[in-house]
Amino acid sequence: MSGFLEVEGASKTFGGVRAVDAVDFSVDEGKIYGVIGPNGSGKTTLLGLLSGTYRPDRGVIRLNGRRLDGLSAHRTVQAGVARTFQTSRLFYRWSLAANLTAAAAARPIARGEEDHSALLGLVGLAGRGDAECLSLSNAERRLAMIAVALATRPHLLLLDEPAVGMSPKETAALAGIIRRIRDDRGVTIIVVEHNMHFMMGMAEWIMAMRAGRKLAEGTPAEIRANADVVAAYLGG
Amino acid sequence: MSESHAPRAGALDLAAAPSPLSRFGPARDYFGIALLGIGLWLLVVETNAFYSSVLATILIWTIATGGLNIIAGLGGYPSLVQGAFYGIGAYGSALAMKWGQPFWASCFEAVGAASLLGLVIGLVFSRTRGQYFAIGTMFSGLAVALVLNNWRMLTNGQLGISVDFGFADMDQLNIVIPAAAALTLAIFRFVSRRRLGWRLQTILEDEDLAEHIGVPTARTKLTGFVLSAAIGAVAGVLIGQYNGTISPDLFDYYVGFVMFVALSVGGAGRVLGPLLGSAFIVGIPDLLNLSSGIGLLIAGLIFVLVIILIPGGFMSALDALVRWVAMKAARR
Repeated sequence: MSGFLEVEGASKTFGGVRAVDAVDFSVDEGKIYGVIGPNGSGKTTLLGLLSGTYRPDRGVIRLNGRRLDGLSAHRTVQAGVARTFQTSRLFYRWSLAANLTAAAAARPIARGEEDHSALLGLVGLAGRGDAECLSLSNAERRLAMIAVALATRPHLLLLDEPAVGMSPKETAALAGIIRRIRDDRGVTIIVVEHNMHFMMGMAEWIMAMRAGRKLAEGTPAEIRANADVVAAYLGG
Repeated sequence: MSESHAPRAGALDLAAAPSPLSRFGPARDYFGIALLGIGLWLLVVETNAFYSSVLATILIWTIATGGLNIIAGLGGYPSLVQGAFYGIGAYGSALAMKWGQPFWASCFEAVGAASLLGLVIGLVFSRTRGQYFAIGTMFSGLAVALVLNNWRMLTNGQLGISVDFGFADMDQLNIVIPAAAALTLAIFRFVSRRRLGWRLQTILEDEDLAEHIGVPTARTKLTGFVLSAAIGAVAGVLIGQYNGTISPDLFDYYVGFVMFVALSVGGAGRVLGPLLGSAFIVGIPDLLNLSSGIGLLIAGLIFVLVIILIPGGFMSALDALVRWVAMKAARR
C-alpha cells in the first residue's frame, strides 16, 4: 500500500530514552489525522521527526514517495511540510502580515503575491494583519502560528497541541478552523493533542501512543472504546 | 505614509513599526546617503589636517562597522572578529604589493583572503549562538592578532611595515574614503531589504522558527558573515593606504570588540548606526587626544551606559526625538 505520508520504523533516542520507538503509520491525502497519548509518550518527538526538527536514528519517512528522513528543517519545509509549535512562536516584533510575507517568500517555488487577507480569514484573524504579534492574545497567537505555517504552502501541516491555553469556546472554534483549512486548501493535517474531546470531534483517524510506541490506531469511536487506550489515559 | 504592508517579493520591509527616519522611499534613502557622502568628502578636504585625519579614521571605521552591521545588526550574531578582517585587509594588500602586485589586484587579494578566513571561521562558529559565538569569534580574532604580532618574517612583528601608496595623490584617497563609507551604508541599505537581509532578520528574531518557515539558516549566516568580513577588509586596505605604515596594535584582538561596541552604541541594524557609533567611539578619544587605554575605558563606559539607557543605540534615541518633535508640532 502506498499512501501520501508513509512512516516505517521511525525511531529517535534522546540520551538513552527511546522517545519514539519503531513507529509505523501512514496517512492518506486530505485527511485529518490525530495523534494522542499521555505526556511523554513521544507525540511531539514524532512530529519533530516529520518536520525535520530532529533526524530519525532509524526509519524511513516518505511524502508522495519522496524521502523526508534526514532532510534539515528548511528542506523539509521546501518539500511541503510545515509545522507549528507547542509554545507560540512568531517573529513577535513584526506585524502579522510581515510574518506571513517572510514565510511565503522563504519557499522559493512560491511565486506571485499571496493574498494575506484570504489566509487570515481562513484562520479567523481577518483584519489583524497590521497587528504587531506581541499585541495578539494567546488564542490569536496560536491561530497566527497556523497562518504562518500555511503561508509556506504546505501539502502536509503538522499541528503540535494547537489548543494549548485556549478556552473551551476557542477550542471548539479551532476544530472548525482546522476542518476548514483541510476543506479549503486540501492540506493533509496531523494534529497532536491530549485533549481527547477536541480530537474526537475533528480527527478522522487517530493513533494513540504510549512510551514512544504505537498503542492503537483507528477511528475516533474505536480509539475511545479501546481498553488499552483508556488504561493508558487513566494511568493503568 | 509608511511603506505598504504588502511588500513585493525581494523588497521586503519587515519592521512592524517603520522608523520615522526611514519613512521615505528607497530612492530617497540612497539619495540621502549620496548627499551624506559628498558632505563628508567636503568635510575631509576643507577642515584642517588634524580634523581631516580624525574624520578619515571615523569613516574607515564606518566601513568596518558597516560590514559588521550585516551579520551583527541584521542577523543578531555578535561577531567580535571584525578587527581581524580589518587587519587581514591591511596586511594582505600591503604584502601583496610588496610581492609585486599592482594596487588594484592587492585589494582583491586582501578582500579574498579575508573572505576565505571568514568562511572558515563562519563554518566553525556559525553552529554556536549568542555568547558562545561571541567567545569563539573573539578567540579567532586573538589568533589573527597573535600571527600579526609574531610571524616576524612576514609582518615584521610589532615594528610594522610600510604600505606602498596605490593612489595618484592624497586628494584621490580623500575622495575614495568618504565614497567607500557612503557605499558601505548604501550596500547595507540594499542588503537589508533583499532576500539575504530579511533572512538574516528572521534569524535575529527566532532562528528555529526561521528554519521552520524554510530559511536555510546555516547558509544565510555564512553568507552574511563572509560579506561582513569582505567589507571589513576594504576598511583595512584603506587604513593602510591612509596611514602609510601598519603595525599589529592597530588590529589587536580587542579591536573587533570595540567595533562591536561602536555598532551597538550607534544602532545595530540601522543604516546610519555605524557612522554614529564610529564617530563616538573613534572620534571622541581622538579629538580629546586621549591615550588608547583611556579611550578604551571611555568606550567601555559609553557602551554600558548606552546598553542600559538606550538599548537601540543612538539611532533609536534619534527616532524617539523625531517622534517627540513631530508630536509637539502636531499639537500646536
